[in-house]
Amino acid sequence: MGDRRELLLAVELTRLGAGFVVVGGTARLLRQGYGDPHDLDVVVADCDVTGLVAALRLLGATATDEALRRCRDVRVDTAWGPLDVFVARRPVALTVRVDGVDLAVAVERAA
Amino acid sequence: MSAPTGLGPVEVALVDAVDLLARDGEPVRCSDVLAAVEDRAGIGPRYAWLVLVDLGVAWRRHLPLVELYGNCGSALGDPPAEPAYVETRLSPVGVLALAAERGDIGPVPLDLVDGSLYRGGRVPPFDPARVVGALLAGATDAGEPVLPTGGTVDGDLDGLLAGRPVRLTLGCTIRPEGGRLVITEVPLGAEANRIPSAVVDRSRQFERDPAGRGHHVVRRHGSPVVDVFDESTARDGIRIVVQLDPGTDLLAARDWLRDVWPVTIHADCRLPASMAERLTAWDRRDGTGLRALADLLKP
Repeated sequence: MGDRRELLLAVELTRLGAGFVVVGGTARLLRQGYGDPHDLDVVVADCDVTGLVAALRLLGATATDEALRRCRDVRVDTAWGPLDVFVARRPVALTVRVDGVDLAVAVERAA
Repeated sequence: MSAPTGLGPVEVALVDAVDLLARDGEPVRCSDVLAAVEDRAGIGPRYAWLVLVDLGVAWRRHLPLVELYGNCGSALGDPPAEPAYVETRLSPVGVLALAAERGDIGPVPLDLVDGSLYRGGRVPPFDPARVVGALLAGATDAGEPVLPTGGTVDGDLDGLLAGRPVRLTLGCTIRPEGGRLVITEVPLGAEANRIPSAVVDRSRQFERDPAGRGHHVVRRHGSPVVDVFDESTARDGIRIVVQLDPGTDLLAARDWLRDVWPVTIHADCRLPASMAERLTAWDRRDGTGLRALADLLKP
């Protein structure tokens, strides 16, 4: 599971100091061990946008604080695949360790 | 969608306008075509230009409906010139499509061949000769999806052909050349222009110094890539050369390269029915449109 490029991207961003919560299909994969996400979805708090943008730039992706704060839901293309960024309040998360890195993973919402 | 061809209303309006203005077969300015479409169908030039280019370039459709003269962009992802600087007229397939739309000949199976993936839809394209051959023979198999750009199509192809929703993996064609890997085809939906920088992004990383200050670039662990050269040209097509460490296992390096986005991309696809059903249920009427297309495809 750890060699999927969505997970590699999450690990890289975390190693570079970005703070975010993994949501969507990749979160389900991390929590429950199944699923086939084709991109990485993350929620980032407003105060963490600058850190995420800095990490993305180090990975060669084009992103700006202004665009993320203005548009709130932004797709960023990276060499690890598309990253969907949602600027919002951090959801409740648990920690999942991947490749020695702790990832914050959203807890599934109750029905 | 139009029953005789499977084209969308904007596509039909564009083909109709090209025919109206280029009646004598001489190319006309695309800006004039777009103005006519706006007058007749109320579709703005900014939107219609994207569609007209898609209908005319060989890297979007197996069977282009119009011929474009001038800079109509490139398979690498370069944008086309302004429509005033590009000319157009109907292609032979476009002539057939319009005849079918007007009821002058029977339906032409453009939707079975080109699907809708070229315009962002979920139906992938198939080989034109296989589709036409299957329809002529009353067969239920036209093979697996084939992209007009070349490149690989993998995934649950049996599920796709059975009409189930599947996620296809579309990949570049990668050939070994000496001790290097060369990308020569980029699948529909992936921008070749992005590939060199993406490969570089995946093969390097930034590290902080022991004091946590600054960054310097180092090779990423596991990356076999020494350098990347984009040797693509408009004349010779796509050629992205990936230089590897001497003695690198080429199969392992190819697997590494395939993991880079957009060397490999995904597309969620679904046929409107099983391929067998699409072929057998296709309404050929008197068969004149199908036979005319078969004649055009003869080598």
